Amino acid sequence: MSNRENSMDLSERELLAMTRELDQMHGDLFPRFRAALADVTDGWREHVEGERAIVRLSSTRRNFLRGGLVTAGALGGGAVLAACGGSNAPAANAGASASSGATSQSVDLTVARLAASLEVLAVNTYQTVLDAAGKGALGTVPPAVATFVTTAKMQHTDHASAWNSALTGAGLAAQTAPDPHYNKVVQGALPTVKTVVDAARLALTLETVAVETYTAGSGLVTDKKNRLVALTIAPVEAQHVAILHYVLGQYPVPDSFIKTDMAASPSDLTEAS
Amino acid sequence: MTFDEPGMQHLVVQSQDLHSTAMRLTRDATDDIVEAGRAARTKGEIEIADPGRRGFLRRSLLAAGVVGGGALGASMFSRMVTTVYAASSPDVMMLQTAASIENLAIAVYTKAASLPPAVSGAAIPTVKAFVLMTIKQHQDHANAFNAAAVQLGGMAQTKIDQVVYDAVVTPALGRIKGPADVVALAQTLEDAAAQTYVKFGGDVDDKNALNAFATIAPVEAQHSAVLLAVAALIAGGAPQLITITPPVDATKLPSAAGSVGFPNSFYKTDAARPAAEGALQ
Repeated sequence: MSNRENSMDLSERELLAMTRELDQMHGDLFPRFRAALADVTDGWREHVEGERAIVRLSSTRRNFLRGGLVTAGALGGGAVLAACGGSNAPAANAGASASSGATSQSVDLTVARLAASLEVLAVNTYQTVLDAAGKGALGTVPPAVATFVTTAKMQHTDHASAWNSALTGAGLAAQTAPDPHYNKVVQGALPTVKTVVDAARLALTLETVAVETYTAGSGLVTDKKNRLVALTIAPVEAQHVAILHYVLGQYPVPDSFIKTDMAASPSDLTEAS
Repeated sequence: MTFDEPGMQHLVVQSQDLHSTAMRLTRDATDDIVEAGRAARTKGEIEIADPGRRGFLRRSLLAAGVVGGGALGASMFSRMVTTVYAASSPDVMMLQTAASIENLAIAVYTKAASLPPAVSGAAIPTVKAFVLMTIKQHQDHANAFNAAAVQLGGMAQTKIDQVVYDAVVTPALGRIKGPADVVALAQTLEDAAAQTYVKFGGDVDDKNALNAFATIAPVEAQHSAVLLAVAALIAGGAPQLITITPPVDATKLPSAAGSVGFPNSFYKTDAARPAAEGALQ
């Protein structure tokens, strides 16, 4: 064996050792992240319970209860009192704020669901690529690309789990369906994916959408804990983008600032599949 | 009329639930209002963003005899309040610290570029191009952070983060023997910058400040990813694979090169710098 080959063997061993260390770091970090996410879940659970209580209230025939709550300023009906210039104006103002607070939580939950739907799409797409590679449909797959796909898929699974554990912890259904809008894009593109380069281009699109969505979403969510979740995921998607650029022969960090023009929209969630 | 005890019990429980919900929503709303007011006072935002409110405050202060000098006095007081609160607000401090980190990165990359190419890594054309582009991007970031700080009534930070320079950069510069050392130092700084901005992004109140941190943190993470990959290829004795023009032959990349650039599913923040570290006193 030549010195050169020895050198490459050594480099592979070193790199694998680094990977093992990184796996260990991943294992160490994830439980701590889940603990932080529990705080987010608690806040959302309270919100959902509040909304359900209000729904129960709306369905009850005991209107005296509603009247009591309006006086307490917990329902949007307080705005009516304010418009009437009644003596309950301070409570009415508080009611409007509470309603606004509930809306804010709804925004946060919508962003969480949108994020989960994009993560599900990424996981599904990478799995499809792995399946195609396993069948030899993409030609020769470089080992580094296989490792990229496997690792990126694992990380997107972690992201989806994080958002879904927050949603289910709040008493809502997990998001298991992919983003309908971008799923159509992927399904339309998959028949044209014949090589590793094609797959990398498709992945680059999805990763770019993800990082831009998190960047835009961090400015939309109202709770700082929710914002931090988005902010801790965005850089990881950006790192996926950088490595994909490099593999595709493109400059890995082309922009000084992350753009948001490809960010997914909350309206995606209501788009027909 | 019969007394439906189970039904009444159910209503009582429901009423208690609803009362609890109502109180919590009201309390949350009140907390929000208090917090918003506190944040606005801290940042001088009342003076900057809400002219109507500013007028109301000024009239109140005049009526209360706090400002006795009429309109001129009120105007001076207004400016003073803005300057005093804004210059020392947490948001401004975080933006100034971020700018100091960017200034430090520019200084370190510039220093690296001045080293002999065999030492700095600039003998590898892609590394040289990366250094030049990254200096430009960090300058863009410094400008963005300073613009946001000035918009909040603070001053632009033109100096480096001296704490990091003394604790991290100075010792590292003394140990530089070759490209691997330069890349390791740069990666340390990029990762610290990304972690700091993620943390600050979660803490700030001002929307412009948040926008700056949210759009810049992922870019620093990208720099870090590239440098981790470059470090691995240098350590592996394969610097010829550090190339964009011509494109890298992906079939020759070691397997682990596919994941070495993004070690964690969630970006850490434990190496984030303190908010006041690079703030102007």
